[in-house]
Amino acid sequence: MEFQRYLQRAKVYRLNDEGRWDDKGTGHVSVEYLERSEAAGLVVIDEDDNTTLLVHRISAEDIYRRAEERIIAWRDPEVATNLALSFEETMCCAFIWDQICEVRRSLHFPSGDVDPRSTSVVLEHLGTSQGHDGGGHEVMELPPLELSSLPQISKILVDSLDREQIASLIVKDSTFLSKLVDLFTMCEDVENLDGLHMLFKIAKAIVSLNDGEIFDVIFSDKYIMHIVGMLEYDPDVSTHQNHRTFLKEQVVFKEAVPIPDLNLLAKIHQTYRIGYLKDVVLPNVLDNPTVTSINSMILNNNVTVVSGLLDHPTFVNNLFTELKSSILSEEAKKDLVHFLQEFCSLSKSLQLPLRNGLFSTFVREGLFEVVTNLLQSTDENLRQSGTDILLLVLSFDASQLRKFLMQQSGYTLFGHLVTGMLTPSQGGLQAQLLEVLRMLLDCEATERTPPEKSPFLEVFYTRYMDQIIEVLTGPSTKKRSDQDRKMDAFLDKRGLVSAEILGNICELLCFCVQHHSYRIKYYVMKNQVMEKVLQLTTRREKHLVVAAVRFLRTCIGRKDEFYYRYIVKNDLFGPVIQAFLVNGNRYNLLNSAVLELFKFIYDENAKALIIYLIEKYYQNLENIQYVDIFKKLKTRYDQAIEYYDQASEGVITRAQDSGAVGSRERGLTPWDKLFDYPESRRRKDDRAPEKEEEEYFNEDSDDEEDTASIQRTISAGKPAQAVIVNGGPLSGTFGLVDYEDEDEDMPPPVRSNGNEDVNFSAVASATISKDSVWLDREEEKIFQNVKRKPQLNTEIREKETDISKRQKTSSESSCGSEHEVRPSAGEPASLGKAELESSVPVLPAEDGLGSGSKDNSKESSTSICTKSTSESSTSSVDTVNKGVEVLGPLTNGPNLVKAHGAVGS
Amino acid sequence: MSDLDRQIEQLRRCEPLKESEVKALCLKAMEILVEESNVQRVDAPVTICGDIHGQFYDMKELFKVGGECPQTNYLFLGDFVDRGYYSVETFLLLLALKVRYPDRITLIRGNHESRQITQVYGFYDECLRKYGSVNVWRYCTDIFDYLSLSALIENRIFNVHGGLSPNINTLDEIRTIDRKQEVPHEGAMCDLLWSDPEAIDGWGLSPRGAGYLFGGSIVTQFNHTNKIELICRAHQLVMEGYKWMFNNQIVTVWSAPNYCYRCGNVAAILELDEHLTKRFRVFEAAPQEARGFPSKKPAPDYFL
Repeated sequence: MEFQRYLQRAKVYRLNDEGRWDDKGTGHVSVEYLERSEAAGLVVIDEDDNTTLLVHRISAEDIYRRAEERIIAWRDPEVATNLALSFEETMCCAFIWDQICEVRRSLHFPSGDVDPRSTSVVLEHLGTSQGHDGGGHEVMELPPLELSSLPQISKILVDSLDREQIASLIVKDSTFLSKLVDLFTMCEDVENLDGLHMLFKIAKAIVSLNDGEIFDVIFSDKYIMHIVGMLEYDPDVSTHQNHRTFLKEQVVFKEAVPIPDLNLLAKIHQTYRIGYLKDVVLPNVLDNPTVTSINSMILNNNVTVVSGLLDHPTFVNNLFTELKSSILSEEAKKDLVHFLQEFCSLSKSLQLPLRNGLFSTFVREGLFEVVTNLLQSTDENLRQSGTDILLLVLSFDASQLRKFLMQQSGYTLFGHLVTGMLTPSQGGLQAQLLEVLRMLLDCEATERTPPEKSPFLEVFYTRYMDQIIEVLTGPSTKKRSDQDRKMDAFLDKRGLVSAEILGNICELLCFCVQHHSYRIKYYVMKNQVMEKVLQLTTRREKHLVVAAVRFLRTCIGRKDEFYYRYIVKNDLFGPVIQAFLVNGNRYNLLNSAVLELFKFIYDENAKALIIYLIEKYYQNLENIQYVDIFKKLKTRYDQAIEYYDQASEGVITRAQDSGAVGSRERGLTPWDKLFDYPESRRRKDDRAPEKEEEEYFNEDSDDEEDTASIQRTISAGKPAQAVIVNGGPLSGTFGLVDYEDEDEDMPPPVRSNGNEDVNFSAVASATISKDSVWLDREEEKIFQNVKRKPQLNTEIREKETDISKRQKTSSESSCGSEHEVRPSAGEPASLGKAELESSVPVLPAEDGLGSGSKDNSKESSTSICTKSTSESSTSSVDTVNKGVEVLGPLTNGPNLVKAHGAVGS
Repeated sequence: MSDLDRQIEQLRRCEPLKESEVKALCLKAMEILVEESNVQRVDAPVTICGDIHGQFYDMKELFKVGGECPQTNYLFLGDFVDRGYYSVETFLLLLALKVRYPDRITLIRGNHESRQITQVYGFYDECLRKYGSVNVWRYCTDIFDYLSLSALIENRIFNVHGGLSPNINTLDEIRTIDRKQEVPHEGAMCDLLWSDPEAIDGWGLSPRGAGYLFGGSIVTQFNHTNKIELICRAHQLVMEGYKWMFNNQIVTVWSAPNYCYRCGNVAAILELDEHLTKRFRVFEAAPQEARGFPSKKPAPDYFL
């Protein structure tokens, strides 16, 4: 192996007439195939000027001598002179010597007991270093095909630089392949192993010629099995491979529906065999261009078969009639379903119009009805096949399925999709269905209407979300109602909802929070979804605890003051801090996830949360020494306090001018400022936030008020129910406002009882968000999302680029330097999409290394990486820049002043 | 013999598990991995291994040279899957060993342990071909999210798949990464899995399109700050199996011999005894004989 990479350096000597050795120069020695003489030879190329110092055809005669470990000498009978090579390195000398010996042995072939391995080694070396004997010598014709000429033909095929020319010779000679097959049959009959090994090499070389015309012939019914047969005799593998037996006896072609056309049938068989040849027989041998050619043959066949079957006047109709038939045997049904599944999966490789045609035809014939039926099957394999078919359809177009789900009476399929995801099973059905639901719910990517207006989401949220959340909370331990018995289907043997399903629910909810801004927000708040999810922090399975934390993190990641306020008001960090403290000093995923959450809050400078966390939990956290994040949050908090103290004084001065409202401002904590505590609970000199907070949270007198406002706001209004979290009742309330009427400049309505619950949000949204009308901002976001759509990795784009991408990557897998280039954000990878989007990186605000300059460099870095995939050079900088609104400490102070002043006045 | 031991035996023969077994195995692995830290502490003696890339039979050679687990403690630096023909068997064997001997083997994440990358470089297709569905791919990629990001041996040797990140100055900063996510396109977690050392001054752009190039001074600074003597990483093919750089402050270990079955390189593993004395063990690809039949076999039934 080493020697291939280092040229063998040697001096060339010739014995002159006086009996002395003349130095003819120094050069690099190699053993080459000399096309002129059709034999292997020694070639020495001058190291200085690349001229040929010596060409010597290696003789079968025993004329070579090796001396002093470094010298090879011989008498050349053709020129009647004595020559010698004096090598610099002993190893090199040995290497060349071995090669000479091997060539000589192979020259005696086929008469003798040649070790086929060594022959192949020689040939391989010859194959790797060609062209020093002048080059350009064309092989004008192939020697007549006989047993004795096999080595020669094999050499020609293997060594030839000009594959096209060799290919044309084979094509021209119409009898070549049939003679080859005859020889093969003969060799196999008489068990001539040497001959068979030669035929292996020839067959391998013929495939490697990568010639379309030849492929057509050798992959035809007439020849393919013989070619596969020849390829069973790999001299490098001692055990004989029974490919033909496998193909003839083990492989079963199941004709679930009679294929109406014999040509199509032949194509189907051929496709399978070519695929087998590529994947099983020759996986190590074929170079990338050849693999690409073979793949495109397979692709073409698939296109022919699919369009042939689709165009057939009755085939598809028969197929679906059969599928819908109720008198099918189990076995026949399975076969039909697998046939349908394969048919659909072929769509992945089809061009858009054909794929479109395929699915429209199938949907028209009742594909979704068939799947509805499959999902009700007791056989999990059939349910999985049905789901798989849906995934294939969805990866192409989700709108057809959405439409069907909406129109089907009783929402049968929709219901099965949801219950299927919630029902435990051995296999991968839940994960598949989670994927199905995610793709269906990803309305942004595929529909023009904003997701909020999508009637599909309307159905999902009103009919199914409750069911999902119900499973999340699990069965109640006390009285078993009918409701609970309905739950039984979703429970495992221990009477618990399985961890897998809970994990999937968390993922689905995270997805909804990321993709459906309002609808999920209302839903989450109305139904105490966060509280319910956070109940999982008491589960034994640590990954569920982490999943619950992640849901909270996802909500906070929306950077929406609404979530912030809701979290603060309901003390939703309680269970998280609890779990974090229970986890102690263990450095595990939970520890990291919680720390990251705090870091995010710090980096985002989410003041509402910072103040809440520090005031309520700092005493529990301040002793944690292994990270400085809590100290940093405290510093932020202190700065905020300081700022508010100053700010509030300013406000007072101004507010006093305008009278009544201002006087109340005195002596407020920052907490009050943000959330505008109800007057009744405020005492001027009370600076102990904890105490006041306690009161605030224990106070639930304003529940009714809040519920009323919820009902005003949400049309689907169903009264919020209290849930039990950590043993204490939490009011399921939040301060929603009728935003259409809300105006930044409007002073908060003062109620007779002084309870300003509504302004809990009004002030905060006015102070912290710069937008005057919250709704507008949300709308804007939606449209931004829609506009950003081309950057999103939609399913459709992925599938379109799929083939080309794969071909590209396979043909570029140059592994000399492992420079694979990461497919960037612009490149589709739908399946990881949710995760990718959730992971918008956050750079620390005060980290000199991390900020602006790096982003710039990153941008250019991605545009530079042209090394192998230019397609991968689109940058995700845009999204990142959008994502990272790093605010320095209190940079939004002025806004606060202004906003606050506005409220105060 | 427990189910798990039986599965390990089966995987050692390069026979994949049933889909339901994979699901159960991944669930168990999840419970173990969730307790690991982003910088997982590892005790010496231990043997460090670089990229494997689904070259199952070459990994068998590795175990022949280095000793079987659990007799030898192992630390694998990621990139278990893609490229080779046996990503499924390779990863599942390592995962099963992890579940069986959690303290004897440590697996950290490589840049190929990602949904996106595996869809391009082979693992996805392999799962689809071997199981007829991508469920196994789903289970495995879900587990990838739980793999630790780095390891620290006796507080002296820092191990990571790719390299350093401009966002990470101290090992403590790695702690605040929530690693349970797809490998992001940039940021600290991405860099740890994608960066490469290079003879440059400071930081440079990576031709890979993710991560950075980092020079000797960066390594010196990092090692000094964190009081470690060596960074051990994988991620780059080195023909001799291992390669020292920057005055023996960083070493690349590569454990996939004849990478992609045609690069002609040898592979290495780094053995550390209890005193952290280093010994590289270089090995070659398994002989063709040992490889058996490529298990890329398509399903024996076909309809179209």
